[in-house]
Amino acid sequence: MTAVLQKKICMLGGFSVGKTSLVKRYVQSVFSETYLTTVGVKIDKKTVDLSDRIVNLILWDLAGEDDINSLRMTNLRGAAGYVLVADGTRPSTLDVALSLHKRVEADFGPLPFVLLLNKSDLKEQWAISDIALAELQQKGWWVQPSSARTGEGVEAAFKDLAVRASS
Amino acid sequence: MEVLPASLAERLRELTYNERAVAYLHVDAALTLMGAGGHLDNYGLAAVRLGEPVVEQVYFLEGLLPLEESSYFVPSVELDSGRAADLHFHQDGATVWVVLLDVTAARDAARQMQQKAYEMTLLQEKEVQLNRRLESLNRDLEAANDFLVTISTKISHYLAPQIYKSIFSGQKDVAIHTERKELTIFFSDIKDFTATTERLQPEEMTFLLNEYFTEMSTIALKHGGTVDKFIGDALIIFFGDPETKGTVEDARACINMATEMQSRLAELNVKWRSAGTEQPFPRAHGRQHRLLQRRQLRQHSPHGLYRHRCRG
Repeated sequence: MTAVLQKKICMLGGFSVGKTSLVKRYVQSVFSETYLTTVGVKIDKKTVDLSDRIVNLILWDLAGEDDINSLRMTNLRGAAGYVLVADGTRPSTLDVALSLHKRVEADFGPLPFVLLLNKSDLKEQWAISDIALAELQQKGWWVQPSSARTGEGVEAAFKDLAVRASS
Repeated sequence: MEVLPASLAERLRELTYNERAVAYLHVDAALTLMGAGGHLDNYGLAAVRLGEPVVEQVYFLEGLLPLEESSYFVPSVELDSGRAADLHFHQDGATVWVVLLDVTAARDAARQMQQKAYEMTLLQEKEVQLNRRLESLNRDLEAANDFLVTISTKISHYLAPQIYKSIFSGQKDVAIHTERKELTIFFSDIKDFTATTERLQPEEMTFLLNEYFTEMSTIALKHGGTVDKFIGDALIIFFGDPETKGTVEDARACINMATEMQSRLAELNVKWRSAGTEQPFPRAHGRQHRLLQRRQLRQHSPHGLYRHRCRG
């Protein structure tokens, strides 16, 4: 019988980087152009079949980080991994993601994570250099451009995280 | 804690229970659901089964149990039902109570405020980005402009000033096209030039030719002539394009120019001889640098040109 595991995964990043849209794309395969800010946390579930095991990802889509809403670290309690999200058209959101990563590591130690540079479909507005990307990859980070609109990179990122968080 | 009067406490309990849609789950140390009640349907939890593992049924509890502290609170959690609840965890001996209080209205109000603030911030960020892009474009444009200035300055050395001015001021299009125009054209070359080149060293000849062409070009410009080209020792200048004072005046300017050139060449010959060059450009040349042939081609030329030819 295939083992069924359940893992809590948190979505972290600045506001309006597309965390909710990424979850919606991944869980429901849909994308909405309307921006609706998240208050508190929204929880969704997605089942991933990894052949040798089935993993239920419990996705905690946390309110975006900004000057007013600082991340409640207690929301990460029990997390098996996290998805850092930055908006590729707003370089400041990469700084927010890097800062969140530091805070999470300080409180919870090293957890599996992926960094998604979202909105890769907006190529003309893309503002994060390939050099910055390469530097993070050199540090061993799992970084990749993604688009909640087109679905680019979404499935692969969550699947990779599911593998690492459940092994 | 102050004890409320019994009737008030009961009213508050009713208010909270109904207005905040109170629901609860009771979980034992083995994380089995041992009790549940209240407005469970409000949160999509009406079908929970007692005696079974709680986390498999109520998946948002994943990672939260067992408690790390005796009481714990997760604010504004949006559940599958679309309702938002504050989750309160309360340790009771070896068991844990999970209490859900509906905060959907408060969440919606907060969202409205937050949405406006974020939209405003995003607009400001966009403005900053656009300004940066504009500055960057301006810098690129300035660089391109500097490059063009450099190039056009270099080009200016190879073009007659009138042509250069008319092209770069936008008066004249650089497109290749045919235009019928009456011009006065001046041709000149140096008498016995081949013999002179055999007599002089290359450096000396270069020096003489450079000075000769510089001086002749200056005189041409002074009289409004357009230096068309240098061919070996020959010089072609025309009057009437891009600027013209009329056919007659252009022809007169050409003759005045030729006269001044003759005088200047005589002076140059004196100077070059005193500097040690014997027979620089033969004396005869200086004297004969005059209008030798003036042929009106108007009747013969399809271009309707006046042709003035000066040969030394």
